Amino acid sequence: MRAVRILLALLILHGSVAAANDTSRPPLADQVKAAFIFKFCSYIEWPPEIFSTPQSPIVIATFERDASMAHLLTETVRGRRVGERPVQVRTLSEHEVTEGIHVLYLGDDTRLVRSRIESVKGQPILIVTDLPRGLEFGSGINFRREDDRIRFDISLTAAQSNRLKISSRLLTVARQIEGAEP
Amino acid sequence: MNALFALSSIRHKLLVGVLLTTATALAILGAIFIIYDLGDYRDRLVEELTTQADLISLSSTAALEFEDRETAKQTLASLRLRPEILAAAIYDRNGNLFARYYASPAHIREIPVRAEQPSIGVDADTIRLFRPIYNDREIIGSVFMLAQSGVKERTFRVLLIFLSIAIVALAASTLLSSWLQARITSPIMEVTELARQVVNERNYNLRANRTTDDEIGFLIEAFNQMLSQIGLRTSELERSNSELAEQIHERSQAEKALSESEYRHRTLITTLSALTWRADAHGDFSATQTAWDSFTGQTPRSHAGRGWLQAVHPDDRELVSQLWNQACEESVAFKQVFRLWYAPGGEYRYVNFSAAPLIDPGGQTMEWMGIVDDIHERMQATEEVQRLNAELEHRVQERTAELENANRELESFSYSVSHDLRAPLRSIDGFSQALIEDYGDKLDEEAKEYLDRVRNGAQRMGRLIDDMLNLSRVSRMELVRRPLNLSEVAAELLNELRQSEPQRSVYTEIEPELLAYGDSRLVRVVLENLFSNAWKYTAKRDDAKIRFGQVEFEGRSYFFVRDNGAGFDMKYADRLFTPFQRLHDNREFPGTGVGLATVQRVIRRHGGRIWAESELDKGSTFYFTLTPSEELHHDKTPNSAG
Repeated sequence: MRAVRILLALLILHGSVAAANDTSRPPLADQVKAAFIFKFCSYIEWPPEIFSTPQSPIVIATFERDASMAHLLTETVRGRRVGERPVQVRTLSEHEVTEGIHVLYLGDDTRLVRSRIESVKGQPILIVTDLPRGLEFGSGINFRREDDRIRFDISLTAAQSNRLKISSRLLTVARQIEGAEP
Repeated sequence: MNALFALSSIRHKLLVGVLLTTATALAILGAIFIIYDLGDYRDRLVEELTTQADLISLSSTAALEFEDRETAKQTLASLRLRPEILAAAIYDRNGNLFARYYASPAHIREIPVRAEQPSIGVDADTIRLFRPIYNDREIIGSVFMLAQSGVKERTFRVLLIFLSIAIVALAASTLLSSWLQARITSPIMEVTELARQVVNERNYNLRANRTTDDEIGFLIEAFNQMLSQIGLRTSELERSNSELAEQIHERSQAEKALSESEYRHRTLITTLSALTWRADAHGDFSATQTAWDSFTGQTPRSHAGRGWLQAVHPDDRELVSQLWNQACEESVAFKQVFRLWYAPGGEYRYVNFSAAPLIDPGGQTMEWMGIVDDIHERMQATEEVQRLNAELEHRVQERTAELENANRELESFSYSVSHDLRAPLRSIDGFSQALIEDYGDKLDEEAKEYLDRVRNGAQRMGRLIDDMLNLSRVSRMELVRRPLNLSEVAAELLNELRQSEPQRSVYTEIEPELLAYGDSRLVRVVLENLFSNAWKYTAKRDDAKIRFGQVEFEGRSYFFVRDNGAGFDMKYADRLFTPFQRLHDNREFPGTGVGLATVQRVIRRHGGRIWAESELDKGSTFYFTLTPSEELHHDKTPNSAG
């Protein structure tokens, strides 16, 4: 039973990845995550004062160790805008100050994630993680795999502490929502 | 029939007109209404479904972007709350079916496998919509929706409403139309009926009632005026006709009278024994005088001008000529009797020559016309009658004179005889008496009786002579009239009679104040005679009664003397007043027979009349009056001679 389901999911994923980008080597899941990260930008509202102009870019940042993701993101956002804003991808060095960024992908390094989240705490930055129970570390959105599909959980508590507003439409597709009002 | 048909046609037209108007208005209104309503309905439908699709789009953008089919399905499932939505689907950006929804499995096949171009299609039953799903101006998929359009039901409903309105409106129109008809056609009907009546009865006094002030009212008014005009004209025409007829009648009457008159005159002239002639204004005879010429033997030449006078008797000619000239000058009718030569008989004959001038309106004499009437025989007869009359008159006068003479002689003779006879009678009576008285003792009884008889005869003769003298005196005495009281005279006379025979008992009754106007001596003679007769003829009655009074007959009053004596037979009544005629034996009732004759003569001299009524043994009544009567011919008593 389970075998059949996996087989089916693999077939579908394979088909869809092949249709999206047949030249890419990186795993399909990462491509989907990159695309999701870009799409999140549309549903997040940052405090307006952090943008100097309406055309100021939205900056998505990764650390060097997630360079593959940075690469995928760069591919994804090329030529695309969120509203009037262009989207830029910046790769941060290990100790680089996290200033002028709006989305920070932290990947799955559990050790680093905690310190990084601590370092940007209070800043209007959407932190996206890909950890089991990632929200407990303080991230805003945490990917999860469900039936071979990429899904995500959202923490409204984290978002609010970082002064971010998350669209309710995004909430409808989230699997778990932490901090939601009862 | 035609009128009714025409009217029903008007009614029909009115109804059709009103209904057509209403129907047209309704149709236009209805069409606009339906088109508008359906358009509006469709717009609302589309708007609603679009909104619905947009809502679905909005709530499924995240699901699409993050490829969350479950969430999309759940979003679509919320459409269960909208039962009119039959099916819905969401396609991804590649046009592949992403999630779908259907109200019932029957609608599964309505959902396309691939996305289509954005479109909205509405048909009678369904509305079908494809709409792109945007996220941040980027098409990320499309939404499909299929819903019940309800256009058919809506159309039915709107049509039903409209039809109901139409029915109500048409019914109202019909009502309105019938009201209009009543307002329009009934006055017209009335006028039509009136017109028919006018045509049939030729009665132009009929009038229509004006009930409204609109054009029909005006029409009726005009109709009435027209009628009165026609009536006026007709009556004028009739009057003029009747005048004409009357004139024609009068003229024909006049012509008839003229022809009758002409005929009468022609007949008169042809049947007249008289001849006619004509003369000009100056009295000269005109050329042709056939009748004249044949009478007088003259010719047109000889009678021309005043030549006709030559036919007149020479003794008359001068007078006739003068009178004719005078008549011609004065232009007055002329009439003259003269002698005219009558050629066929060869003698002059008397003619009545009459002429009349014909005068024109200017008063000028145009001509003379005349007739000559032969009155010769008549003239001769008249002359003979006149001659005979004169002769008769002459002889009557002669006889009357002779009779008067004889009468006078007779009267004087009888008077003298009576007078002269009295002396010898007196000597006969006187000497007879002397003989009896002086020589009575020497005479025997027989001689005495003879002498008594001589004396009786002499005395009777003396009385007779007295009566006759009386009668003659009554006739000759002059009347001296004065008012008399007859009652007093009667009382006096009856008293004398009572004294002369005191042994008799007679009941007398005299009406008082019986007044008369007459000669006292003669009236006394009358009463004396009547009362002595009554006294005498009641001698044999024990209950003798004499009445003197007055009665009224036919408006006149008469005196009467009534007794209940011997009376007489009425068949001898005509001899009662004749002298010497007696109805009773002299030995029974002695008398001379002159008394009543004397009475009658006195009464006649007064101008009155007397008559008697009687019955044998019952008595007599003598009625008389002393005043002249206008009705002398009613005198019943016969005239006594002398």
